[in-house]
Amino acid sequence: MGWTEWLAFDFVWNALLAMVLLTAVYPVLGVYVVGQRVTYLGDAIAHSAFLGAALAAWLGWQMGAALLLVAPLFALVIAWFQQRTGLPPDVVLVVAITSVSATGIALVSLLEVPLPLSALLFGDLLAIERGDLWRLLGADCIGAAMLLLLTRPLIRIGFHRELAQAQGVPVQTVETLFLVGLALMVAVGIRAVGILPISALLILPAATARTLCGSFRAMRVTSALIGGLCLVAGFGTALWLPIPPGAAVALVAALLFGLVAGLSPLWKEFAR
Amino acid sequence: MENLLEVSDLSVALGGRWVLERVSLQVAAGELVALIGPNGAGKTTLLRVALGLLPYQRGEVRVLGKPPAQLTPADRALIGYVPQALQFDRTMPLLVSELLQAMLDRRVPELTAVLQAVDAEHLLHREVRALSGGELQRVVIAAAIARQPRLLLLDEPATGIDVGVRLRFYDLIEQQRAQRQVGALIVSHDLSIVSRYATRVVCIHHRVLCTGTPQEVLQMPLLDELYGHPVSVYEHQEH
Repeated sequence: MGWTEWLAFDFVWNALLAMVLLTAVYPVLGVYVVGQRVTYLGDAIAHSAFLGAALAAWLGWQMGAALLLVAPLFALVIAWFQQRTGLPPDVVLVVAITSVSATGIALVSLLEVPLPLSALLFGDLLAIERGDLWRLLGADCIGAAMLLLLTRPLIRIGFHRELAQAQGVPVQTVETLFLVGLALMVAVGIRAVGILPISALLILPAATARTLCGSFRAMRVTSALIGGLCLVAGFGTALWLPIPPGAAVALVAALLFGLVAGLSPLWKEFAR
Repeated sequence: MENLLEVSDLSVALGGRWVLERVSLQVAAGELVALIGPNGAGKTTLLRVALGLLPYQRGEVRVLGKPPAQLTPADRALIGYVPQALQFDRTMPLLVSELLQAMLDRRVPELTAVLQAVDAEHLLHREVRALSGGELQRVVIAAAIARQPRLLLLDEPATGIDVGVRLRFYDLIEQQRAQRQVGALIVSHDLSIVSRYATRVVCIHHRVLCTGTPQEVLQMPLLDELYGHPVSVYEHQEH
């Protein structure tokens, strides 16, 4: 089937629109996630989808609605626990990922409710509906507001947290707003691309851009372009090969990162 | 003269050990107070308490007339702080101009003048991660001064900076003190700088050991004992 024939289907248009909405803000937000050194956080929040899906199935809610409730609450619990215990972030986040996934799966088994594991892990771009597109647009608006209001304080906190605090940046408020906004965006994005690719879409383009760029502004633009490239290439691959689109997007993003990060030292050596 | 920083009977415990015990000192407008003492004496702790970054157990601290916890962002804009040896993520791409824009909310053409104050205008378009420790310190000092502070809290601010720029920096602080009545509390191990610029010296080692003019304090035999070797002042040659 040719490209033009594919475009006759509504589900393809919905998927393309979803990709545009996902590319618009998620990879740019990833630059801040990488800058705040909380790359595991997106992953931890994404894994709260196991708990959200179990609760949705148990209570008869829509999964999207359950995720919107569970993800920000879970993010706040992580932040509170981290602050309370003073443990290193990587330890807290690994514990969070393990415990929330296990709780979700245990609940599903105990309650004997079905868990759409494949849809959860890799989403279903081709099953995107009009309501999902509106939710993605809402998530983009949250992301855009965060970029507009929090860019300067986040750069200052990312550079030196204590200096920012001493200079009057309300560090805790900024970090909490960032966390809740990120959790809401991850919750909405999971429906489209799933738990694993949403982390890939947030982190991998930004990580690839960090290798290539010399300024924060260039990193934001490059991350958005790489995110778009990964979505288009991944979606195209999924149309021709029997791979879920979310998995294909994550695969392309990982390959691109591996290629750029691997070749970067050689390129720098050559450029000398 | 108005007191910009007032510390009375301050005691601070960290990790179950008293780092500061009944410390009292004041910094008035137009005063440049040097805080000296050996490593681990509690100098940085005192600055961090004044900034509200650390809690304290006993005593009273007032910065610009308020306890540190009650300082508003507008009050904090009047405090210039330069921390000791900056540690930051050196993998993040960030230009000096982008960092200063985030810190000062000014347009790029105005930032050249900000950096000129510390002879660092050539650093404006450089990557922060490629700066040496001394260059980065100059950028942070320039940002602290550009905010037109009333009180400066500087923790070994000129560490890693070459002697010419270091003297220029202290001349700038002296100028701020004399012309704008800025008050400054400076932690320093450089006794020649202390002798040349400080209006008063406070020597601490968990407690205040002595206080007075640089001439009085730097000649005390107590310093030799404190630092473990004879202390003398070496005058930096300007050029």
